[in-house]
Amino acid sequence: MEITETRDISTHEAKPKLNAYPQERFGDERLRWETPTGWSQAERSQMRPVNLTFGPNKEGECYLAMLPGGAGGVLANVNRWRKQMGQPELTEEDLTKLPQKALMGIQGVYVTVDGAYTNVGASEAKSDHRMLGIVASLGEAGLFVKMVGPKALVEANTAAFDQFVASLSLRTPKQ
Amino acid sequence: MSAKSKSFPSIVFAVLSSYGLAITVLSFLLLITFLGTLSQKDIGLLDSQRTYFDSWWLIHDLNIGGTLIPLPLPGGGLLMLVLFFNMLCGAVIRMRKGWRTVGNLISHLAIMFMLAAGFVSFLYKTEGAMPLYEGQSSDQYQSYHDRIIEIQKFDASGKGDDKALVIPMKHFADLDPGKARTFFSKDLPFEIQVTGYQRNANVAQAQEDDKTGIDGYRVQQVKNAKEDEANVTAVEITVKPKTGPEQKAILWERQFEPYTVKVGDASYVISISRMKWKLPFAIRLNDFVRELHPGTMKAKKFTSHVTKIVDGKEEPKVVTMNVPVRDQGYVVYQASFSEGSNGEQSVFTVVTNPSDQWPLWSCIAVAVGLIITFLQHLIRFLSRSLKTKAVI
Repeated sequence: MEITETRDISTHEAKPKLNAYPQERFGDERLRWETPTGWSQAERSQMRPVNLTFGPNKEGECYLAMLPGGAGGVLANVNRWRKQMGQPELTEEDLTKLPQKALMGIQGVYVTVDGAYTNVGASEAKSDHRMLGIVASLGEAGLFVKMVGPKALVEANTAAFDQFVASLSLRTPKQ
Repeated sequence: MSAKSKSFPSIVFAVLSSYGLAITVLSFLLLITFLGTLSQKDIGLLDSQRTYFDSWWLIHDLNIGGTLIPLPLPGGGLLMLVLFFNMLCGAVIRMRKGWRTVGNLISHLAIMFMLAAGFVSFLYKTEGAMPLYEGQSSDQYQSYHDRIIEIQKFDASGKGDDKALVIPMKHFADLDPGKARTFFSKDLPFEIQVTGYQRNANVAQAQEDDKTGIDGYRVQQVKNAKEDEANVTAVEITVKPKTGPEQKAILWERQFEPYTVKVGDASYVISISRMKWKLPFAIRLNDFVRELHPGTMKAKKFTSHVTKIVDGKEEPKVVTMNVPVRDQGYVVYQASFSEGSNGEQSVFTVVTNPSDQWPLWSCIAVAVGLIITFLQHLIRFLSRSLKTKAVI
């Protein structure tokens, strides 16, 4: 069928971005990120708008979570993570001693925990694992990036984690 | 003259001009108005309007004790067309002409004029939204319902053509998954095959082993919203260049950026969106004022202080509820507002309709015709009464 109709383009119309990547076109959560080489994208969910896996058998996972209520604050989340790794809780004073890293322009607490990892809903712990993560708060909301997997695998992918965190940003749609 | 001697045209004329036909048509109009109004609850305003009033015929599912019985009915379009010819034949051509019937004639012609206004409006009216933030200007409005696939060419320097090619919705809305249609133009170095139309859809990331995924994404069908404005349309396209490999893409109404096809130095951006119409003037929103009923969030009055810009000449205007701005056949109404990340946004409805004022003129003419008829009856009654008294 021949295309016969046209429409005038307004000078007030925003110029579209040429050659946009699929992620730029469909960034429905307005999130932009780069998936590190060798990593894979897993099914996203409302809780995990960015959900990635890595490793030969995809045994490592790394995701971004954004919780409007903050899930109890930074300390509570750090201790929840430590509990998952079978480690004792930290105090407020301990928290202040943890290093910081920027997550989408917000300074957050950078957490490294080694131990036996028990995933949510799992009955058995997986030994010799490492968890890396950043917990940041944006007003009432909490921003989390968490990476977990076998210790050697996480160590090998720490640079990729940093690259992924640095690539995360929020974009504003054109009006 | 016996019935047997009547010719076919005279029989048709007799049927078309009969009171029986008028009563039948008006009864069906009453019925479909009733059923169409009730159906809005289930299928929304747009689908109800299209099914019951913009149609030649329809099947209404009559629910009797939980059992659905399909009931064929004439549509509003057919009924109004028949009513028009019924009045033309019965109340204009067949009616005796004279001073005694002049009022009736005027009223019937005026009703026919109103039906014609509806027909012109159905064919030529455009209506859409123009949302503006304070300080923002625009000279176009976008349809509430009509989606298009559009293709705009950009040269090597990034300068875009001032016209975009448009594939209207009526040419792809029937392309359910499994059906496809190929579109071409002398201005395009490729053909576009469209398939997989979804009236309401979401685009999600595909699993890595999902072979139906395109660029890592897939279209998910979503149940249609009752109000069509809330639907987010998607299609799948295959771009077929004269040389080189084919490219597949998803077009989604809510996408942030269009899909780009590069051919030589030129780029062609392809997107699906609402139809946009250009105005012969621009509107700049200077200030938006929202008044609420005290102690509530219920709107009392929205007012937009705007500047109308025609060929660089600026003219301040105020658009508020029931006080639109009219210019060159376009009417700009205050419709609503929304609050977004960029602040308050005033939403205008822009309408152009060649028969915009015809219903008003028609109503005035109907009233004039009825007043003439009533006055004639009154005069005749009074004169008969006076004659009777004189005899007594």
